[in-house]
Amino acid sequence: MDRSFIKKLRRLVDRERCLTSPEEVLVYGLDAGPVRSRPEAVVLPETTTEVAEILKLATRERVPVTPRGAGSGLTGGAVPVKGGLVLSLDRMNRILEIDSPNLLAVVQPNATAAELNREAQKHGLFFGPDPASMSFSALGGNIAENAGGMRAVKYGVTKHSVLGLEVVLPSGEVIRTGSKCVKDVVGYGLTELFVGSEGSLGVITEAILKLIPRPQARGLLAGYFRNMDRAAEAVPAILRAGLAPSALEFLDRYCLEALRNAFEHQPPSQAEALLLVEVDGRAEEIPRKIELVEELFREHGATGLRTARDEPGQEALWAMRRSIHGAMESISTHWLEEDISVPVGRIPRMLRKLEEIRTELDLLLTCFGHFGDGNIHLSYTGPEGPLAEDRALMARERIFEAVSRMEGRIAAEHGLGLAKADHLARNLSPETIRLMERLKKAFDPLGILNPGKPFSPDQPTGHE
Amino acid sequence: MLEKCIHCGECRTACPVFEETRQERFTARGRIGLLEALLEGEIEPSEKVYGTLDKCLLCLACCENCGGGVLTEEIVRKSRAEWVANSGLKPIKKLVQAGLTGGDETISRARKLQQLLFRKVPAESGLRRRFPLPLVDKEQLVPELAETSFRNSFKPSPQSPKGPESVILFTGCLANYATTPVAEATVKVLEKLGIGVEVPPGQGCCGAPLEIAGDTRAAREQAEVNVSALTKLGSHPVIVPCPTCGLTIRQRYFNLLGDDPVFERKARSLAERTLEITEYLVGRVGLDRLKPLIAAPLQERVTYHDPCHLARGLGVRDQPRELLKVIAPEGFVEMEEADRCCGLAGTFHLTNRPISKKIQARKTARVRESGAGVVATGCSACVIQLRDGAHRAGLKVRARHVIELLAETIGE
Repeated sequence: MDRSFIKKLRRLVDRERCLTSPEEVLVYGLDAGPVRSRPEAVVLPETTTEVAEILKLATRERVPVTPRGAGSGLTGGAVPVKGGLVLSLDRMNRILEIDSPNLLAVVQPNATAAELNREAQKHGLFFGPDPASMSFSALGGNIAENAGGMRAVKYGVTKHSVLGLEVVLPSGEVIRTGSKCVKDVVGYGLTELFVGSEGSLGVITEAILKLIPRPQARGLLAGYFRNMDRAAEAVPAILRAGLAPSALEFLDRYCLEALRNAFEHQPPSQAEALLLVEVDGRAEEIPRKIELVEELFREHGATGLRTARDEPGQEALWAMRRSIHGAMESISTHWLEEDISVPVGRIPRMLRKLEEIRTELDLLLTCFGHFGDGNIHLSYTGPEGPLAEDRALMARERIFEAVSRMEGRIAAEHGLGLAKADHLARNLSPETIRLMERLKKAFDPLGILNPGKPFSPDQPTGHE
Repeated sequence: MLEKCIHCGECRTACPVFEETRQERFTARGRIGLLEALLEGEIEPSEKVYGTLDKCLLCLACCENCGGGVLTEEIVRKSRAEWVANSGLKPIKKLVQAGLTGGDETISRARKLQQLLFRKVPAESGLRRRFPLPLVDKEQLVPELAETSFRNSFKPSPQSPKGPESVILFTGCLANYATTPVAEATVKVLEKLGIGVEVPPGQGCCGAPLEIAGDTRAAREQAEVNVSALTKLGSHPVIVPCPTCGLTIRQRYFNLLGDDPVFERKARSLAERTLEITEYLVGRVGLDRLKPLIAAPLQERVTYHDPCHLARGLGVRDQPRELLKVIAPEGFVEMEEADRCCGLAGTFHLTNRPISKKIQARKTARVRESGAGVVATGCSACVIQLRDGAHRAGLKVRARHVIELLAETIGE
């Protein structure tokens, strides 16, 4: 990037929206993950036209461009590893329309899911995907990473809520995908290509999102189990009971130990697992659904049960689930994390396999997460301190090997980003990878958009 | 302290400065990221780094919001202190410091200057500039400096008992030199309750603006002056109508005086008996003693703005509201974003005018939306900003300190 590029950029957007000094651009080089890389400049467009002009210019001058939502991702999706220009969507953050009769919303990329929900609520509607970061992550980022969340077990991940997009291609061309219609098979389904593409195929400048009627009532149950195996078996059982739980979360025995050592939320001393099941629906359905869950809990050996029928009670239980990260921080500040998924019926086996790996390699390892959709968040570290690099790599290998043996996936909802390129072969055949690379070339022939992710051979593995 | 930050970005939703600038360096994460880079030698200390630290309201919203409990407000203050130790105070802050520590003489001279440069407009509560001035536009309402400071004119009322229930009043600069009705109202309410009020003469500026700007040395001087003045008269509760004074005395004095074991001990014991006025009235005196005194409850609808230092700094949120519900039994309404900073933030509104005005405009919009005719708050500086904000927006709303409203409703 040379000075003439900056000059041309400044002619497209006013000076204050084009940042070049180190102090101004530095923060745009990091996200919530471990990798940082400073960009050379940052631009903050306000309209789709500006985004298009910027990309046209970047294509002409061969300048790498990394789009940025809120920079809250865990896998480096927003980190400009090849320097260049960061295109921050922070000045395109409005909710354009809540179209209540058509059950949809039209939004700019940097509005947040929490803001969308606040607006949708006024119309008795809500937006399904609820990633933990929903109050601050950008919807554009949620779309680019196909974010999940606790309610995905009933309402799906982000891709299930995207009806259409406006996207600016690396060339600067603007296209629209999908529509306001639920059923639409006109042409190839491009929307789904962009969802989860991690900002490597185009820059999202507008999204048409599906809204759902807000459930009238919710019930939340917490079950403590003395036997983790049996608790894990409860997961597929609950899914098969036809209850359509709106959340099915799990904390394993090590999480509970962490909670015991850390906080006010004190799990009972012999509990080996905690299951949180939420049901929603019309008010009259809730009591029966709660009964069914309680029965299933008991059948699988639950010894302690707490049912919360009102918001404050539910909030208290969710607070416990949310406090798990903090509790783990008090044990170690060097956890390595993985975000994997397996077919839902294989959760119990996967847990047992992870326990094997844990003992064999002598690790601290905790598992928790959205077990209802087979998604396990696991954190691991050494018993005395951070794992040495070779041991960490070995642990990762073993985990991913176990995952692929069970037909699971090495990235469930946090994206591939910078972290997993060398493990792609576990899930993708060479032919598949080659097709994906050809697709990338078709969208971005010069390779300027978010270079280095999600599967480029020459990625850095550490800090830059 | 920096290591606790995991750079998740949650602070983006809390920071009013980020909301107005939409630039990432103006978030807790951004400020911390910059400081980390500074420490690692990746960037040089520069005006832009200072500017990032300066464009911070210190409103504590990020600290309250942070899942990891990172105390960015403290980090920013300490960084400012480092900066000042190396490069000195900026001119405006030096001026403010001179004004606040110069004593009655300085204020009296300032008042004469104010009379020359500003004029009173009868319908408004505040002065307007007579001709173009730096930092003050033609709309700005500026509080009038009192002809005689509160402390110089204070006489305990003849009926004021010197019984066991008496308190020490620490006025703070605003109530002493400018918003004297706040100090007068505080005394009136206490005396009507049968509580004696002492106003020790040796007190001065609490030192908050100095500490906040990073002039730790000057702040320490004020800490010493005030700890001496306030610990002479025995161990009565020390009452503050200003939450910034309260925060500084309670949480910062013993640190500032940490190098002197005697003073540190005195400062800690002083901290334990310092209470903000609504805290004292609701917590120690009790609403039951207040209710019979209310002769004329407020007929208007009233809403409440939480000062940052009162709500997040001292944890006092319920007490002012409970008082307002007694003052205006039918008419209390909550406003949206009641605890979002008003944007004055000490010298911030002088050094960062455009952002301060934008934050003020958003607060004014929320006041308007509440439908209230009176906006009450627990801080004189917030009153100034709320009043000026309403005035600029053509909004007919009275801005008052809670204690003034209480005094209004108590008979003569």
